[in-house]
This record gives sequence, structure tokens and C-alpha cells, in this order.
Amino acid sequence: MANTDSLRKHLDGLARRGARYLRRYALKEAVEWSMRHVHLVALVVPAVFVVCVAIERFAGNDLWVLSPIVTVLVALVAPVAYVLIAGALGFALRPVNRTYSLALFDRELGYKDRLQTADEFLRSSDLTPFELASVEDAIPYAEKATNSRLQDIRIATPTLYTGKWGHGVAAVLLLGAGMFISFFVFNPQVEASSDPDELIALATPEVLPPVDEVFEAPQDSRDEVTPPTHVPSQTPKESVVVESTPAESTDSPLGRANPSDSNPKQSVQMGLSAGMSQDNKTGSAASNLSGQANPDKKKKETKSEPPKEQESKESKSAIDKEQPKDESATGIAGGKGTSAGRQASSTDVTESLNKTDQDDLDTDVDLESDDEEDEEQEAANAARPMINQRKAAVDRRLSPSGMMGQEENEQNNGRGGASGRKKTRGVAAMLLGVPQPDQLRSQINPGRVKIQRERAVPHPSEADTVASESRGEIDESIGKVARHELKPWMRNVVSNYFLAMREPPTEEEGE
Amino acid sequence: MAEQQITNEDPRAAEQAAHFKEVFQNIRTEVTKMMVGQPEVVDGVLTALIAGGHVLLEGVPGLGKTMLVRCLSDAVSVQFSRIQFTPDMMPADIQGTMILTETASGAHELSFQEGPLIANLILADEINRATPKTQSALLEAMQERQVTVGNRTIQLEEPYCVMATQNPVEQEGTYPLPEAQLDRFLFKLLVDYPEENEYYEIIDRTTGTTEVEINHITDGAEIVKLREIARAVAVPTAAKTYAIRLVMATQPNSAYSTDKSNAYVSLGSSPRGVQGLMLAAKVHAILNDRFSISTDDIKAVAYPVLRHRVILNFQAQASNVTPDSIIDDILEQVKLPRSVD
Repeated sequence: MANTDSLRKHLDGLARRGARYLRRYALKEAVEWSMRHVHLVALVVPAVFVVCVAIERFAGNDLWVLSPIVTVLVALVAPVAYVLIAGALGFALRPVNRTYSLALFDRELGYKDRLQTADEFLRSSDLTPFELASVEDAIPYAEKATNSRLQDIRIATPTLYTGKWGHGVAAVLLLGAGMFISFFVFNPQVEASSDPDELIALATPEVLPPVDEVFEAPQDSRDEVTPPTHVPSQTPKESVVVESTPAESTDSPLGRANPSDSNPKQSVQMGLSAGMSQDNKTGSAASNLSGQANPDKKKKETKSEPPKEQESKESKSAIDKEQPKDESATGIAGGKGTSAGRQASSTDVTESLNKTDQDDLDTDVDLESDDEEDEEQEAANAARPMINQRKAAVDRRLSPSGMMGQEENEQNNGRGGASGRKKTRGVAAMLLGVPQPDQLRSQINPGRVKIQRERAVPHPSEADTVASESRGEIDESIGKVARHELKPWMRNVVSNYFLAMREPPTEEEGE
Repeated sequence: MAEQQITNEDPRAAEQAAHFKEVFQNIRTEVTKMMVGQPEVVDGVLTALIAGGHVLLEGVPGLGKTMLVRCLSDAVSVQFSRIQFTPDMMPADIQGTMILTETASGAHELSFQEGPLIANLILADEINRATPKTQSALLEAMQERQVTVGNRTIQLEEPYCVMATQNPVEQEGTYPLPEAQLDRFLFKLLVDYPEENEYYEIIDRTTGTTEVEINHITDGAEIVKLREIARAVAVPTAAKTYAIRLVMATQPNSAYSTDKSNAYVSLGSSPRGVQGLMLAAKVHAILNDRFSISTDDIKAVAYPVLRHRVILNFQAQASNVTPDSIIDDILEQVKLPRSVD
């Protein structure tokens, strides 16, 4: 029978000592960790200060609000505050309890978990004989641990990274650079004017101009809401030239007295955008008009039925007789809205009508010649490239493949009909019009050659007769047969080859 | 906390532990009369025998694997049988089969002829030369301690221990053990070449005129008692936690898996790995004069318990990564519970 009081007292004392060690360790560890990065923290405030001051000088924005003295103080306090906060966090977040403390003694003194095991078994009520024996076994070890010296416990001491003090020098230099930029660099007004009132006026924030000046020339906003048929009296190029003059830039809505302001650029951009918007409007207006004027022609273009084509040819020939041919018209292009900058007028509308008709007539000749290919494509129900037109294959929606052809059939109800684009089987030589290089005489094409017939005539060869003889006995042992070890690079080659062979197929390959 | 008295009225724990250690040492002494060197292999075989597990001995021919098991069977007076596995061996050859026998009255009847699998200590020599069909016949015997032939089920007598050997070099004509079979072995022990000074002892013992006799130290019943003592060793929570973390670390993409196990392991240890770690650590703790296991005991038995349960992928084989290097990494990466690190 043995009393557990002594063991409990020893374990309690060890737990308290271990907790102190652990807290000290946690604090040191956290400080050490923060000291690894404190040099970077010391650089943060000066670097931000320099960047903000530089931006303020060059761009005119007020980014840094602290005074120089406060800036220096912040730069000095920030690393210290970082170390303190990190240490406090590390100290607070480190779990320190009784079991951890005893485990520390077990580990450092090599007691094979005897102390923490005994402490765990002491907390339970029903102990097995081996658990009781384990508790008894821990008593001398607990006494020994109590008498052990504190230095025996190994705790890593924080290391100050003295080699990083160069960052502190860099921080000081950055602060100096920031001060220099803020006071001396690129401030001609300060240098030119000696009047204190002017200096105060320069230092004060910029004041916006009066309200009546602001709303003098809001032409752009009105131009934006003009209808497409409205033809502005001022061409875009004129607006760019006029609005980009410095004299008028001061009259812009956001104009400032500071010559370094970027408002002239804004006005130029606004003028350009207004002109471009006008161009776009006119282009779209022309397209709308041309599109509304000949809806029947567009239908004839899209439809491929022969009777309707004949009717369209007749109507086109009638129009051709009435109106002369104009070679300079670009009605179709204008009708599609791609000719930016053209002003729509009534004459242009009629021109576009005429050009559309003329082009329809011109394209009819090509349509007739393409009928055979279209029929072939429809019969094959496959997407083939239109080689003579140098275009990509079209899908069933008559749109170039790659844009619409990859879409799934929306009416895929299983009733057959035209499905999606099918893959073309075969080679380019199967398509008409694809040039194939002629085979030169006595030269073979590059690539594999299938030998159909080999003219090999056997010839008798003379050689000395080989007399047979017995193998004979082995004179000595072969010895150890070592496995051939590959060199590292050979092993890597073999390894990479088999790894590549065993790589799972990608999604594209799987498809 | 209420005061608690240690009332260890059953002082047999210390006595049992002392008896356990004494018997273990005696067996080891007898085995080492014949077996020169290889102390880790000898201790591993004895530990597995007492812990109730099976052992897979791997080494090139001529290192004394078969002799070790023979010496052990001589030291432990149990029924011993040896099976030399060959590719044409069938399950009936090791389990037993029904044969036609003639009775005293002259009648004929079918009777069951027991195979070599029905014994206490089985030496399965060159187990990887048998086909998977025959290898699988060992599964039931190793796990359930029974053999089923037809509609007859035979309970195997304790202690029951299968000690298999295999040659890692000569792989042609062999059938690698399936994972289910490997998992049933408690230990996989690697038998290496002896040291230079051990060769002198081998020459003296084996080529002289004196013959070494192995004395019977104990019997099967004693082994069963030792097994009960080992199972009674106390297990603190920290040791359980550490064993679980180690086993989970071998499983790729688990909570404790390391980068190396994620990259090179295709199949990690099963829960049998935790059982094996605990049983082997208990024996190790008693042998080191402790009544409860510690994390150091688990570390000591981690290699033989886990190395055959870590199935490597092709990339590991191509990069010459071994299971022991994976376990090295796991032991280094997995933190001890309640550690200040």
C-alpha cells in the first residue's frame, strides 16, 4: 500500500514548474518569431511614407496625412509594437496545462511518459493492476524530477538576427528620402513665390470654380441623347481640335486653376468619345435604314430554294434596267454597319439600296456555281471547308463552324433529322481542288513506305565449317552476379517514361 | 480531488512482468545458441509469438531464417510443421483433405487427413512461390484461427503462429503476397547479412564437431499466459493518440499524412496496424521494465509493424523510395501528443 499524497504533491509541483517553463518558452518563441520579421516591419512605414509622398508630389493627391514628426514616431513605434503584440499573442495562444507540463519533464528527462501516465491514471477511479504498478513505478521518477535542476530543461533561446540591422538603416534612409521629397522636390511654386500669402494659398486645398462656370458648356451630354437621324453640325475632328485647346479646357465642367491638372486631357478624351459616339450613331443609323429598305433582298440571300431564287433574279433584272450601275457604292457594307464615320442621308439610303441590288445580282452568279457544292455538302451532311471561298466549314445553321457549330442540337428529341456537325472522315486528297504534289521519278515521298514486293535474290555465301565441341566444365565460380545498377540519369529516363505511360488520360484524350 | 490510496492488493503485476521478462530472456538465450547475430530479428520473432501475431521474414537465402524458426520451435515446445511452398501446391495440400481409408472391419470411409497448417508453429517457407489460391488458404487460419475444409471447420489450438519467409531478390516465378495476406502479418522483419565478427561465430558453431542442442524452455500454455500478461499492460491516452496518428499518417490524404506519404503511398495501413502497434508496444514496454506503454515503445515497433502495410505506388518504386523511408518521414513529421514542439 502506498499513499498517493507524495506523488500528487510531486506531480503538482512539477506541473507548476512545467507551466512556468512553457509560458516562458512560449513568450520567447513568439518573440523570436516576431524578431525574424521585425526588420521588414521597420521598413513598412518609411516605405509607405515615401510612396505616398511621391504620389502626392507627382499626382497631386493627398495621401499622407501625418506630420513628419508623427511619421518618425510611428516608424519607430511600429516594430516595437509588432514584437509586443506577437509576443502577447504567442503567449496567449500557447496551450499550457498540467499534462503538457508533465510531458515536458518526461521528454526532457527521458522518463518514457511515466509522469504524465501516472497523472492520468491517478485521475481515474478503477485501476487495473498494471495501472497501479505504473503509478507506483512513477513515484521515484517524480521525486527525481522534483530535485532536478532547472537548467537541465532545454529551451531554445531566441536569437536576435543582428545581420538584419541594415534594414533599420534602410528605414532611416527611406524616411529621409520621404522628407526630402515632401519639402524640396518638384514644388516650384514654393520656390518661386516668396509671399507668405501665396504660399498659404498654394498650401490650401484647391477650390472648385463657381457653379455658373461649371454648367457653361455641357454639350457632350446633349450630344449623347441626340437621335440617330440627327446630323451634328460639327464634325468629330473639329470637336477634337477645338476642345483640346488649353484655353477652352479651363472652361470645362471640372476645370481647375492648377496648370498641372489633367482636365485638358479629359476634355480631349471627352471630345473624342463624343465624336466617336456620333460616328457610331450614324453608322448604326445607316445600317438601320438600309436594313429596313430592302428586307426582301435579305430574305432572298438567306433562302436557297430554287423557285424563289428565280423570282428574285427576275425582280433584280427589272431593277437593274431601271437604275444604272454604280461601281463606287458600298451599300452592303454600310448596311451591315461596318463603315463607321459615314453620315446617313437620303441619297446614301438610295445608294445603299442600289448597291445592295447590284451585289445581289453579282452574287447570283456565284450562287449558281456553288449549288453543286452545297448539294454535295447537304447530301454528305458533314461539315467540309469551303476551299474555293477560303472559309471554314459551315454548320447546319449556315454559320461558320467554331462559332455556332459547337452548340448542341436544341431540339434533340431523338426523332432524327439533322444532328450536329459531324467529323469529316478522310484526307485532304479526297476533296476536289486540293493540290497534291506530283510524285517525282526515282524519289519517294517522305514518310513510311510500304514495300509491296522485295526483289531479294538469295546468294550462296561461303564460310568455314564450324566444328562442334563440348562446352567443357567451368573452371571457376562465376562469383557474385551483381544487379546492373543504372546511372541516375538513366534511371530518371526510365522512370519518366513509365510514369508518362501510366499517367491517366486527360479529358480531351478521354473524349 | 479526493485522496486516493494506491491499494495494489494484487501484486502479481510486478511478478508477472518479471516472469514475462525472464521467460522471454530464456527463450532468446536458447535461440541465440544457434542463431548468430540478428538480435532485432530474434526479438521481433519472439515478440510476435507472444503478442499473438504472425511474422513475415524477408531476406536472401542462407541467412538463417528457417533455422531461426526451427530453433524457436525447439525452445518453445509446441507442435511445429514446415510447409515448403511451390507453385503447384494446392490449398488441400496445406489445409488437409478427405481421403478414403479402410476401417478395421474392412469397410471404406472418408476421413479427414489434417494438413500441415494444423499445428502451433507453422514455417511457411518461401511463401511467395505458392499461387494466390494457396496463399489465400492461409487467410482464415491466420485471422480466425480456424480451417474450413468442405463443411468441416477445425479450430486451431493456441498459440498459433505462422512464420513465413520470402526471398526479395529472386522474383521470377513468384506470386507477390496480396495486401489482405500482408495485413495479417503482425511483423515484417528484414533479415540482413551478418557482420564481419559474426561470421567467425557462425563458422565455429556450424562447422565444428560439437552440436548445439536447443533446450525446451517453455510450452504452448506458458506462451498463452505470457500473451495474457502482455495484453494487461496499461495504455495511456497519449500512446493511443500517437499510434493512431502514425497509422493515419500512412494513409494518403488523411489528416496526418505527410507530403511523402501523399506522393508515394497508394495504400496505407489498416486498423490492424493500430492493433499491431499496441500489442507489440506492450511487449516492448514489459521488456523495458515498464507497466504502461509509452510513445517510445510505439516508435520502436513502428518499422516492423507498418513497413508491409505501406503499399507504395509506381512512382515510389521508380524513385527507389522504400517503405522504411516513408516511416522515417512519418516518425519525423507526426508530432507527439502534448508535445511542446
